[in-house]
Amino acid sequence: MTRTALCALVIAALAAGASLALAGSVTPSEATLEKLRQSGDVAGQRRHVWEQLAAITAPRANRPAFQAWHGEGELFSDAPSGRPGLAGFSRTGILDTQSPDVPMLTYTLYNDAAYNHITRNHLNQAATLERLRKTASANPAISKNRDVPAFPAQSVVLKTVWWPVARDGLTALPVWDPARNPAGKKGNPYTSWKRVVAVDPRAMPNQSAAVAIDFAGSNYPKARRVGLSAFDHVSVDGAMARAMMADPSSRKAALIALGRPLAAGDHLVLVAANVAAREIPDWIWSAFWWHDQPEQGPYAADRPASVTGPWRNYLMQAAFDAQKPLAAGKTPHITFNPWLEGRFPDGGHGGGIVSNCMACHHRASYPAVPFLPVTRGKPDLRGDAAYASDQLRTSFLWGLAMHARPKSITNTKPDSR
Amino acid sequence: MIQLRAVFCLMALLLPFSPAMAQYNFDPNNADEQGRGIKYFGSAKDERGALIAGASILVAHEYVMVTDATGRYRGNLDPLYTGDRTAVGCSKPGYAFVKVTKREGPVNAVKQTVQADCVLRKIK
Repeated sequence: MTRTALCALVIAALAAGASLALAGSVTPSEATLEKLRQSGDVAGQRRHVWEQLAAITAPRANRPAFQAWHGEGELFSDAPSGRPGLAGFSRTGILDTQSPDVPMLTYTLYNDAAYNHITRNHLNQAATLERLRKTASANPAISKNRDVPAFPAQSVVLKTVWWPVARDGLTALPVWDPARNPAGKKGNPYTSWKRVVAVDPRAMPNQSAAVAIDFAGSNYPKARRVGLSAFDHVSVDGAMARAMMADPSSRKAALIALGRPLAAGDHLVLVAANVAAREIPDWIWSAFWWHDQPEQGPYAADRPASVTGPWRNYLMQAAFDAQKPLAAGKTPHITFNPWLEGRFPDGGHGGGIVSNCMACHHRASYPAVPFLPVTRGKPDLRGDAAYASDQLRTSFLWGLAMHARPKSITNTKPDSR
Repeated sequence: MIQLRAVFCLMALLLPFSPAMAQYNFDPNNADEQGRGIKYFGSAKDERGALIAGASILVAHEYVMVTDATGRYRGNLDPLYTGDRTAVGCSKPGYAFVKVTKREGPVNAVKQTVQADCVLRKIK
């Protein structure tokens, strides 16, 4: 075999097997990551998760790698578009309940490893989940529960949150400042955040940095003007606009941001993302969100040089464990996304701002149970319906439990996790 | 006498189209009347009374309802959000807030209601 052929084989093997090969570093082994989990080494955990971000956002054909992944529509929609990434947005079967929530335009993406595992095992089909409830291997820790087949270690699932920006003029975008948004009983949705920036697709260097803008009934006389280049962003085409505006939550989010439906020529800026990487059996969980002062505070810490461009404007929290390292007051570890979890009210264990991705996703099981109220720390194996007899553990993925097709009568609301 | 009868007839004909008939009426057969909670409903209009679609109605800055194509909205909220102690606002990009008029339904009604009507001014 020639050296060239050998080289090509190695490259092909790497491309196939290392979906989450970390940028600029060797991918740590599961044992190394388990050590990080056990030790509660926050800095080490954060460095690893930043490298995950660098890997999944590395440019591929002039767009972040994750935009070539499989969208939730390919798994759960009755009319998948056939396009990868956000451009393939498709969501069906969600009824307009006129619920008075604070919606967002979200879309979940699955890398090849995760997508292939789900489709190969038909885990997006309710009939399969029903069968596995009775026949799958028993969960070793939870009595009379069974497990879906274990996902490959290269699996990554990415939940993205996008904010509509008008093609012309200014669009207000709420910004979450921790000091100004303390944990409260009622949750902390973006309509209650204390500050906004004004996103200007035509921002010029010599323009005033501060502008007046209204949002959610409040006036902000000195909102900071920010250009599109500060964000990961996509331009909306006609097909995307139509698909997104057919989804009640996305439509409502557009009406809140723009006062009108999304249209071709508008933009979507990435404001938040939650990443689940199956590098350890309980997955590694991280939350990213955009901020206009991304170098400040603990959520900016440990960001390496491999995170480049607009991705340096995102803050981060990470969880390798539902409890460790302990938070202030020796309470379970906290990791949340202000956009996705901040809005959850306190149901007795604290609200979304003191939640932990893992504690919630540990409850993911079929048939789906409500994911609220927020729980923390160790699971309540006796009292929580999520751990009742004959539940099928869906490997921490609410998406399988809630959206497997055909959808059950309870699956009428968009996934909020 | 004939003129008076004609006026009564005209009034009877117009009654179904009066503003009062456009307001919310409790109907226990409606699916969204079931269950607990306070029904919030109303409209968003501009200063000339034209209904505004796509306006956000904000309840305590924690919940949002959006007016439909006819400028009206409705939704159920937790019973904690009684009309007397809940702030209601409204907004729409390109419009300035003018006022919200809030009215609670009868205390002894089968379904507690709050009607909140919003007025916005188009920014020129």
